[in-house]
Amino acid sequence: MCLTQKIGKMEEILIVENISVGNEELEILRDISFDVKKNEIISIVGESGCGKSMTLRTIIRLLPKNLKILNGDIIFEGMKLKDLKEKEMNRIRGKKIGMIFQEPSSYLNPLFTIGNQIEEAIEGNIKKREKKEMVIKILKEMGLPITTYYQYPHQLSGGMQQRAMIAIALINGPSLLLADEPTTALDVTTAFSIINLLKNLVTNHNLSILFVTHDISLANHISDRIIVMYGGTIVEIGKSKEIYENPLHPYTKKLIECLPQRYKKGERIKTIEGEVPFFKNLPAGCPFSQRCDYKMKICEEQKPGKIFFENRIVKCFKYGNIVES
Amino acid sequence: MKGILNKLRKKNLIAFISFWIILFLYFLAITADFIAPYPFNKQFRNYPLCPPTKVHFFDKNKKFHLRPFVYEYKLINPALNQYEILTEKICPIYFFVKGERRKILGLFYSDRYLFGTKEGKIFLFGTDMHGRDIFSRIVYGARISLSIGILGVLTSFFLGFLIGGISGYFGGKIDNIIMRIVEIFMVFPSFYLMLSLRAAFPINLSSFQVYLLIVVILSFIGWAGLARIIRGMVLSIKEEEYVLAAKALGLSTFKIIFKHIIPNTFSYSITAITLSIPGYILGESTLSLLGLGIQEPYPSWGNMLSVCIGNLRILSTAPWMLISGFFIFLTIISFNFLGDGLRDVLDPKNW
Amino acid sequence: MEILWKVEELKKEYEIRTEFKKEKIIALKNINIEIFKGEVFGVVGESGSGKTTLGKVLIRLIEPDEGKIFYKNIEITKIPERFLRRYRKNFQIIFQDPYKSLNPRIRCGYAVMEGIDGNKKEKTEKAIEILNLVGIKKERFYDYPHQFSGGERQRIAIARALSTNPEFIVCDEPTSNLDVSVQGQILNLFIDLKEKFNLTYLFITHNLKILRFIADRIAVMFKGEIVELGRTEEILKNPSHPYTEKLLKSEI
Repeated sequence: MCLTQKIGKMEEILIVENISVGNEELEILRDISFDVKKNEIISIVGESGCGKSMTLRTIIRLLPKNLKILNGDIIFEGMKLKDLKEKEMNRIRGKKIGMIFQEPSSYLNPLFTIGNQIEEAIEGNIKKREKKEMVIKILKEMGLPITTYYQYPHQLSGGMQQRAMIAIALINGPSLLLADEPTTALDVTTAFSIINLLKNLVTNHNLSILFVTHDISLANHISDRIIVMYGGTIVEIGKSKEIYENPLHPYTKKLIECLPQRYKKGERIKTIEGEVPFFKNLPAGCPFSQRCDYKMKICEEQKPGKIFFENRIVKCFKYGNIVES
Repeated sequence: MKGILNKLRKKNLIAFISFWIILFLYFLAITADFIAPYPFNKQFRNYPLCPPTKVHFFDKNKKFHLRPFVYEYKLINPALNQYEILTEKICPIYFFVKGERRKILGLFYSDRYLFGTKEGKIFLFGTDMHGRDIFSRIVYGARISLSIGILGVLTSFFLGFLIGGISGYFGGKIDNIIMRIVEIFMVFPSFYLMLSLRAAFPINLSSFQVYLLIVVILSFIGWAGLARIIRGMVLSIKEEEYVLAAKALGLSTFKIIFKHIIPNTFSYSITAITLSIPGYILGESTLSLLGLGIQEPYPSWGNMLSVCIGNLRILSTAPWMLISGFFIFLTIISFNFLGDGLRDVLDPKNW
Repeated sequence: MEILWKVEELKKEYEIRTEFKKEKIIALKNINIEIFKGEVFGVVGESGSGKTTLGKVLIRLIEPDEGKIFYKNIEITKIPERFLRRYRKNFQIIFQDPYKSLNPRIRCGYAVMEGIDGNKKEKTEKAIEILNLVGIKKERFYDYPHQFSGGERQRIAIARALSTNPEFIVCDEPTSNLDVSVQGQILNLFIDLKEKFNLTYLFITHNLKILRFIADRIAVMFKGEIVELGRTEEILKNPSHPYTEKLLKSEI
């Protein structure tokens, strides 16, 4: 159940309900529930192995062969995605939901021109000339020179490649863009301009973005709401500014405390002991219990359930004794 | 070593089996003196092109004999090499039987053989047109064919590593010059190069000289391609960060090349070694097949096949003459499977 | 303050050959810097700025094309490698990618032992001690790199760098490939080790926020040149070069 359902069902373009992903041996994602509203940017924040990329792949149904959705559903613009056949899902991928990735050079085919690759993504029976016009138009919007149409990926810089990939993702006018760490591999100045580009696109294109990152300060900068994940489950959801200034979950607190910009020379960064455990080695009870400063007995035995607290959703026994069902 | 075998068994059963097949073949080669019932050049004039003598446990009266036996074969039509099997004469097979005295591995004398008959003859794979036991010639021939393969490969690889390693590590002018030389070697079609090199030497050399010559020729052809690949690998490994770190630690060039760079080429090179042995075995077989390799009476699996050339009648009348081809095939395919299996096992991520 | 490194007019070019033409890429140009003992000298720049090349050329893992490098007043630019080897123990390097900087075929303990002098027993003991110092327990001495996580591998790399008792360490983006929480641990480790062993660092990164926290002076690099150099606080408060301003504005 999501907070925003009270406001109006037309607001949400994506509702993820109690999703679990895994196979007989293990569960990679557990109890994932959130929603994305129109024209909203939501960030999923977490470190490597927390399941944030897997969540995106679940939504667009590009999971590896040995994993499947065990539970729950995904509702996109009123449609249930979990049980769609592959053919029908293909009509949504790249058309209604777009996706961009971290390393643009790996995802662009080195053998074809940019123009060619963007045209390839265009859906529908459209004449070649019109397709070309569409491509030129979107290249302009992305801030790319028209000559890019004829260029190959290796002739472009990292930032330009990323813009090209965004063009491919948006050419069909999707309402949702899934972004998997699109700026992590880019230089600081380039990343900055891509972030600004994405923000403009949201306003001008009626777009919503689900933005995955490991950098919570970036998440705070770009998004309206933040979802914090750890050990395959969501530990906190709330408005970005509120979370950033007043984190509730101990892990979120630590993530923010780890940022070097909060310290002066001579101080030591307050970090978390240890590292993120592999899925096979997740503890019983709360996944963060082993590394948590506030660990109580119940944390080692039970998994905390969703608690609604001050406009936030938190999964932590510090704020209540609700156990995951 | 044990660990590698265990991993092979778990991951790639065929490779594991192949390993034992190869080991068995080499065992046969080494113990040929003991296993072969007859000397490789002993001609039995009464038994030319004799078919393989079948081993029986039940005689014509369906009586079971504990000791396996063969029947006496008698040549009834010399022109057509037809034999009659005399089922009245039972010739039991004895183990550790006494026979002619000869030297085992050139070290000591013995007159014991693994198996043999006191009467009659046991030709497990038949005989050739001179009446020589093919089974004995196969196990003796294994010595030549299997050892030349290994020696040739090892020499090539030694050269390839040395030259490729130097070229890759030092780069610059040295690299340029060496690579141009390597390319000249690679340009020659290997088959014709092999023939011409052989032809450059007198036809009538002692068998030992011929043996060495073949090893040299084979490694002469093979090293160049290898040197180029090793050089490529060294060039890229040289830039890896752990090599730079070793340099920063102050390690000597020698140590860097042999401790850090070369071992990281093993995942490719050991596999490549295993996979190229078949080529060398075939090279020797080809030379011997054409009469340029090991000469009569010494058997090699290649020259045993050479008698079939131009004599296709053999295939219908005496197909057992081709059995050395089967052994070549078995060896090659086993090395191929083994090489494949080794590739996985040697990746340190699987340790 | 003692000057540890002095670099004069350093230049490094690369030639890239495509199918039709040769292109010259200038990796380093007009580099003149001094590094003082005990300081953390930060270098910031984007990809292609030459910051990584600077680190590798300084300790002559890559040969410069022109210029002079002085280590404690000894010119090391032209010394043949076999003499330079004696000095190498004094300056070490830690790389960015913890997955590539360790030889995958060598056990972690042995990798740390390589740079230590002495007989096998002494080497082993010292290696165990250093690994302990960086947070790797004794039980893992014989494990292979792929059995460790990214943060642990980086610690092993740090242990390896410490094994020769160096005075100076080039830190080439040592935390860029690590998770945020691990990054904090490693940065703390760097500071602790610096205090314990009186180390000097050349700290290369694209992340100004880290330098703000750890560096005494910062050099800003752009297209192979140092465009600005000065004390951390000065540069961050009053940048004089437009590129530095751009970098600061892009900070989130």
